[in-house]
Amino acid sequence: MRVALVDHAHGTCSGELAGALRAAGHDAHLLSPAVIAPVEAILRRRGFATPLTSVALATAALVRGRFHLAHAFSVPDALGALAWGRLTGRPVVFTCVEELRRDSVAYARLRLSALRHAASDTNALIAADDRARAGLQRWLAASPRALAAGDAAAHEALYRELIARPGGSV
Amino acid sequence: MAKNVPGDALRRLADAGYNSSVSGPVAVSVVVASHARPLRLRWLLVALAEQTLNRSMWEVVVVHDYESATVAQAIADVALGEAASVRYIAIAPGTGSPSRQRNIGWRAAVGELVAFTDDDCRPEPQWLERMLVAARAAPGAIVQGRTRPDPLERAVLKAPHVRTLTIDPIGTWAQTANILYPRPLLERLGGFDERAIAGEDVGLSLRAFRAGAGIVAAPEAVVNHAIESHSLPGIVRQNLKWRHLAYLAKLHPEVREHFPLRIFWDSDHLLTTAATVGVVGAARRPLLLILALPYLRRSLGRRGRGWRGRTVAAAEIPGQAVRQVAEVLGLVVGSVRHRTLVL
Repeated sequence: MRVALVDHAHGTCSGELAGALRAAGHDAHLLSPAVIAPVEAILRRRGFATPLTSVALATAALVRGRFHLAHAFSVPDALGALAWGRLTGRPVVFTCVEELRRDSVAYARLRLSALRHAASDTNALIAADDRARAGLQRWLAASPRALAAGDAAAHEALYRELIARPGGSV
Repeated sequence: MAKNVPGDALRRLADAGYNSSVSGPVAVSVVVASHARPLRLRWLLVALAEQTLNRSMWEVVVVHDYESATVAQAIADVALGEAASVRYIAIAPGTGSPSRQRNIGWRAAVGELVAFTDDDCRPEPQWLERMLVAARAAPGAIVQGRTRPDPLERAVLKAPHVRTLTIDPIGTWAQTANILYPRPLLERLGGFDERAIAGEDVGLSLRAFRAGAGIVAAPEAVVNHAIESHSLPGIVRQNLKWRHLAYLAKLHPEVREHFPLRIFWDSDHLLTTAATVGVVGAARRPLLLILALPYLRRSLGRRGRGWRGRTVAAAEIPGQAVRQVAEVLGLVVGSVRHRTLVL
């Protein structure tokens, strides 16, 4: 399987999973789409939840990479992956690493709609830890899976299940 | 008819331990009408679970039109503690309206006092306690709390088209985002007018005043209102319902005391109408463009006085103009339908 782990923030969760997947012999690529800082500054001043410029760059990187599956680790990365998923018919996984709180679910323009899109429209929703799971349940009424970042076998099983569904192929 | 209960008096009453552990019959019912916002309703219920008022003294009645799967997924697991009860009354999808749902709610409620809030609101933890204190200090009166755009969503105000609410009591319109009625008063008035598509909350308060009821302010009973941004087509669609304000004016001509020139819903509509006349008329008489200047002046000041604010405001003028002209045109349609002029 050729898998893209999309994480513009270079988080530990994505890095750990990338290492575990490679150790298990999989073709895992860690994509960290850039953000265009001057544009992000303007968007922030206009009240948007940033980053947003990484979304299109994430989609482009995924299209170029011909991946079987994309696994995103933030809301903007999930948006980029979902756009790629719509173009290619490939599955998208979203791991929520942040602990959602009332002051973070709707704090800026496009935040709530993006969060709901990432949580509801991806093919699988994972909570990185118990706090993330509790936040998703409390504020989005979501029921995420619990998979440890270093558990390559569990992730592989999930990926194969999603890829095997109509619209995806190994 | 309207008076303020001094804030320090309210504080003394609250500090005197009104929120004691005394249990007894339900003192206040919170009634919520919900439609098309199950997630926001969930957030409201979470906020209500944090209320400081003794749980045995209040209940929540939610009247909604959601499918059972939506209820199970979005709201059924929200816990409101052992004592406080939440009752959900489901009506068939598409059969509800704010008036009808609120009437079903208060009639099913058991409290002597009925507090209304909306499913896109987030009451502060002391909200219900302070509403109850104010109600007990002024028996028989309507109590209006303070409503503000939710500070947790403040950045959304930078969007060009937003929907939120600000009420510093005692406000003109008695919106149900944050208001309390004695149940006997609701019974005497027959509740909300279910023929009203917009302004039903105003209509209820006007009928209450006509019946001799008073209203008091409880500015420390705070509800935070969602700040939601919309696209231009979206906000135009949202605002279409205001065309029915003419019905309110027809039933309650006294509401025109609050209308600029007794015709315009607010000063924005007055300026928009004048600007429209000026722009259209300028084709024949260019001097009429002067009528657009007040509108332009106000519009350019929407985002503050600095150059950045004025630049943003200027860029937003076309969209704001479309929205406001659409509102006025909607009111023209409503005026024709209800045969009374409100713009």
